[in-house]
Amino acid sequence: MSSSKAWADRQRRIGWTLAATAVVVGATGLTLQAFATGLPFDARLVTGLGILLLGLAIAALMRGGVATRASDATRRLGVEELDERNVAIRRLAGSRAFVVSAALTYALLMWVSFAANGQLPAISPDGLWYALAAAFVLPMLVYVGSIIAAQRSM
Amino acid sequence: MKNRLAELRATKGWTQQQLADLVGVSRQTVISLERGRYNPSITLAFRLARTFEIQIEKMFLYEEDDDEQ
Repeated sequence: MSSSKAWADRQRRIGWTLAATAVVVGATGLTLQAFATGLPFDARLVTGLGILLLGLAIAALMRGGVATRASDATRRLGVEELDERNVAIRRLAGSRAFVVSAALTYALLMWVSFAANGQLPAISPDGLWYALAAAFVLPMLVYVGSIIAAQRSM
Repeated sequence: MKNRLAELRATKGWTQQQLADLVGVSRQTVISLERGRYNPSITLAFRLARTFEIQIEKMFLYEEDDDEQ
């Protein structure tokens, strides 16, 4: 089996596994939303996770599908994925995003700790939600920005 | 690190995509190598040298200044 066909097959396997997991998680979330009461968390989180998994599944299946239909595209997609420069760029972006993520999470933890001791103002639930959202989104922006910058400079 | 990739590729009459396909990298990587913006791994350097059937040190020109980068 050629490496490009193996790559396409692997994408399809990942896609179907993610799709099956997404259906189970999504259905669980919807069931919890409809019937469960008094849960210590919002059941929409589970449904949201199912939707996220479904999106990842569709992306993997599309990559596998495109790769299967066009052999030239298959090979090039596989090459792009494993290309050493692209791998280096992704690693660089990943390490930068990790630093930002760690710094934000650490700062938030410190704030919550000091707030518990009364040395800093307490964060409201809404404020905490926005801070956590920022700690999730900013590293992703750094990751994407680093990839774009490195693609131009490397 | 300087290299003679563009010159050698022109001698063979290959396009950047053809060379990329031969050594199993993306065309963008070939472009970056030719412009000297990216230094290849030792494995890729050997693959390139073998593709052009020359010794690796005839393709990549190491200079002391390269250590400072």
